[in-house]
Amino acid sequence: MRKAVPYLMAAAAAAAVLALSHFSEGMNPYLLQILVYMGVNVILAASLNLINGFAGQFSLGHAGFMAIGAYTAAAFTYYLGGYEGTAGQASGLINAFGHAGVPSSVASPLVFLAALLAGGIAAAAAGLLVGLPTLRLRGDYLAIATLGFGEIVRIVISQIEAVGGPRGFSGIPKLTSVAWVAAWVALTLICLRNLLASSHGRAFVSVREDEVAAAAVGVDTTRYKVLAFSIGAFFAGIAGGLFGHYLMYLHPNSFTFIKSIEIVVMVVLGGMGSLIGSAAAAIVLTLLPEVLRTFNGALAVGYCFAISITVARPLGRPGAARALGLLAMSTAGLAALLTLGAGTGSTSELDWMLGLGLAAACAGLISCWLARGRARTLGTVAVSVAALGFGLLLVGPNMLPGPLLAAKGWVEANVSQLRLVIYAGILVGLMLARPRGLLGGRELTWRVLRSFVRSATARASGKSHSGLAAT
Amino acid sequence: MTGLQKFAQLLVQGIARGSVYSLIALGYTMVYGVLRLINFAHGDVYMVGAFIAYFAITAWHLPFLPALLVSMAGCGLLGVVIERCAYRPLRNQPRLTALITAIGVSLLLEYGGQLVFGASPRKFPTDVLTGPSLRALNAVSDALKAHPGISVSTAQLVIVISSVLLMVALRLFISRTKVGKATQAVAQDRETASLMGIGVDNIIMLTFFIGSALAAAAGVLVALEEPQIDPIMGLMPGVRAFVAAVVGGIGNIPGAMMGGLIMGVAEYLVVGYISSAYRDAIAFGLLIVVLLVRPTGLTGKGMVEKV
Amino acid sequence: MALLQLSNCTLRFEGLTAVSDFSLAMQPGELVGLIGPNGAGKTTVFNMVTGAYRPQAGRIVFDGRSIVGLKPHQIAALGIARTFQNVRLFGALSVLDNVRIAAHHTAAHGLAHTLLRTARFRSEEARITREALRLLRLLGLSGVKADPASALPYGLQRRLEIARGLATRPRLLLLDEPTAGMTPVETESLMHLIKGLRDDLNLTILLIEHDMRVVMGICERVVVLDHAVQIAEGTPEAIRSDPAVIEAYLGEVNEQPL
Repeated sequence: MRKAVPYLMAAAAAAAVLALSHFSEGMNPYLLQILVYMGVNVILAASLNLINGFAGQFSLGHAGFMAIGAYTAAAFTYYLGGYEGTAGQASGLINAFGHAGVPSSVASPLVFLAALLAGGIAAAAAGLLVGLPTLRLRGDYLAIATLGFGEIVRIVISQIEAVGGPRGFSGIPKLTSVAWVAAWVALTLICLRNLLASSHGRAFVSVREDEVAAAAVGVDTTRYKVLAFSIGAFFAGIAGGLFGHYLMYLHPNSFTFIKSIEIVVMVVLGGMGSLIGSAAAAIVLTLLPEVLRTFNGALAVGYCFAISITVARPLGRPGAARALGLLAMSTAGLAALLTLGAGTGSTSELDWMLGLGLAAACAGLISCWLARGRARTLGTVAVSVAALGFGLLLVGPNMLPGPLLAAKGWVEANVSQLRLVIYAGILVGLMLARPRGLLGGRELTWRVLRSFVRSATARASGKSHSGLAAT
Repeated sequence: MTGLQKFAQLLVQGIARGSVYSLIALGYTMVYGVLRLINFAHGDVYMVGAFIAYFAITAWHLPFLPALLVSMAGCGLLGVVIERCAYRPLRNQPRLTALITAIGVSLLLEYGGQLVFGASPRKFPTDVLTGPSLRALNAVSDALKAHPGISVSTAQLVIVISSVLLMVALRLFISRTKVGKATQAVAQDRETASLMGIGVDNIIMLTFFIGSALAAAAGVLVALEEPQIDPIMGLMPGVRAFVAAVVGGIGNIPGAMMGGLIMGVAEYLVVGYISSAYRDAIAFGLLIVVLLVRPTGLTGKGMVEKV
Repeated sequence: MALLQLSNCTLRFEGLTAVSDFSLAMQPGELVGLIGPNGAGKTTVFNMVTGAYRPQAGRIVFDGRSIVGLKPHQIAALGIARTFQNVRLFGALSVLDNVRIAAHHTAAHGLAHTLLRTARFRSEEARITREALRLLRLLGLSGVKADPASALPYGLQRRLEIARGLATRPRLLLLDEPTAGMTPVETESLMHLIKGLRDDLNLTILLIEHDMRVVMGICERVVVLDHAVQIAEGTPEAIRSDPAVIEAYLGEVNEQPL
């Protein structure tokens, strides 16, 4: 039975990919774009986690690898592919396939795959180039060198006329679909997991933990550092290729060190030793700025955030209050997502759902904060009801008093700028609340999940015995 | 202009810009020295400094020197507040966490700045340079303008002289005063320093105050030469100064001064002789080469790991 | 033929001579002690043998092959394992993983096998795990095999370091102050364990120690270093009464008391 598990999981992944591609046919293009970006970011975060998290090499130049992959793949399809509207239209590979009797519906994905692989390999070669000379550099010096590398790549690319130079590279055929992205996400995660849950994975971690000791037990630290860079770069290159062939346009300014830092943030947030954490963080951080675009979204996020902090830093009695908070968080998040899906036009059903979720979140928050002792229960209930009412008012139309309405109006007008401020605030807050990332540096395995559930139920049951505030 | 004159001109400009980078780099290096933290928000403190001075001059009609001092004090305070709220709670956490928090603070300052000041750039009132407090320097600059090879603008004179004065003051402070020596102790071994009775928290606050004040000064000085100020003006100079600090040997004050100057001169030489497009690429490339040759920076002592 | 032969090795650090003209021959199966006051150069000798430092002069031959200039991981693969003066475990890894990683260089499955999860991958990983568990049992660490190494009490950490060293399948084991910081009971237990390992696993052991009980108890031969120079060599009893050794540890015998 155990032997069958990998095959079952592969089948499940394939089924998920097929389902996604089927359902995405008629999807709102905005949602589609978000899904594609999420997938790309997951690949980027997971591949960077290999370098930064598992191998412990402080790399700030991941955007450079992404850029190399993006531009190489784009150049491949543009000049060699034979797609319509590109330079290679007449002479490209698709035509060659056509002459050999292969229909373009088969040839096109093959050529795209070849382009992606070319991008990945080019990026991997760059990873080799970066990994080797920087072996002597430690910590922050390595960070600078990789940052410099990323910037150099970007500037050099911006001077190459064949790929558009400083004006950008347009005319790239749109070949990326949700199915492609999903397939590569699955492939990346599977490859990385297979690599990391093995003797080689332990070798990476040993290099991170103590290079001297690693060498003393026979681990070739040089080889593993370079390997981490190369493999990480390969997948970053793939992500870049997918990115370029969705956007149909590439500009060097998409690959500044700011992009590198965004990916680093995802890795740190998800926890440095956790692939699932990186994926989760990538998804959350891709969604976040989008959800924040509307006022409702901003509120939803605000409450989610407050709940998360409460859940992470338990105050007072956990148990029912925390469960409520978690439930509210999911409801609010779901409501926010649905509001998002409907675009900017919101219906009253969505408003009510959102309001309910927000109110529940508020109630959970307040009860967690206040529920320290039986004497305060009454106060807790009172404040929760008040919070419930406030939450409903906030989303209900025009039921607020004057000044609050004006404030709400200002916020709605400045939402796009405000959302960035909120995003930044959330970043700071999340780090203060969960310094070790969402999963605390561990991988989310069944064992970790079991121990989490065990301690949660222990605390919840401890509630009925002691009158002391549990932790 | 002859070749030599062009070279001299670029050198002068490079030194002027380099001394600004040094001022910013000093803040990075000092904070890194005591906390081992790369304060990503530092470049944005530089931006706030320029804005405070802008408002001091346009709204309160202060002359140059007082505006500069107000800006420095204001940003010093800002630095202390940031340290207290965002960095101190994370002192015992992994360094990368504090780094991300620093990035968050940086984004807060940038986006908040755009929210409050608006994203479009404002023109810094450089006519303050002709004010009474700078008469002597204006005279010097006019005299020098007669010679094409070494024409130096008033702004550049102010920049270089201010930077030198500030750096000398800092050096004296660190090496001669008791508090300065306490700072060195905290940078070397925080735990032992606290056991010796040194108020580590206060030292760290002071470090942030000084570093942020220097960044504010840098912001004001740059605004004199490049009068367009906007909320994201601190990004690139921040990165360049950080690179300069690392190349000089991070945690090392003379190193930061050297690194900043090298960065400024390299930048202008590249712009003058190669092309402005490759300015950053070659500067970074140069710095990577330096790092490969001396992995711990120009003045950094090699960390000999005891096996 | 000697398993390990150091001949006239000298190591200098920018003006400070750490080890001067040091020679040592170790026959297979020997249990030799390396002692001397602090700063004498004992750990430096270890570092030379394991390739962390390169001597400016002298030769080091292991199993008939010169190892000067080889990288530490290559030397480890040849069959020399060591423990460290300050325990250097992989804190984030579990106890079991710490031992498993040391067997990595013996693994016959490369990247391709790992990524594709072939039969060879599964069998190699199983073998590594089996052997690691066996070593943990041998050193009494089976109960903590899933704990992170950083969570272990000090005495167990030292044992884990030894287990990890053994996992590299060494012929020569270098132990750097293995009983440092241990109680007399722990020391006694470890002492016998070390001797037992030498006997059961056919090892050759070079031991740096400060605790004279250990030196007298299990070492067959003792070499004494002081200020980078070898000042004595012989059986433990002979060393104990050697005036040069006494002087090195306690100062001049004729010194007037204050």
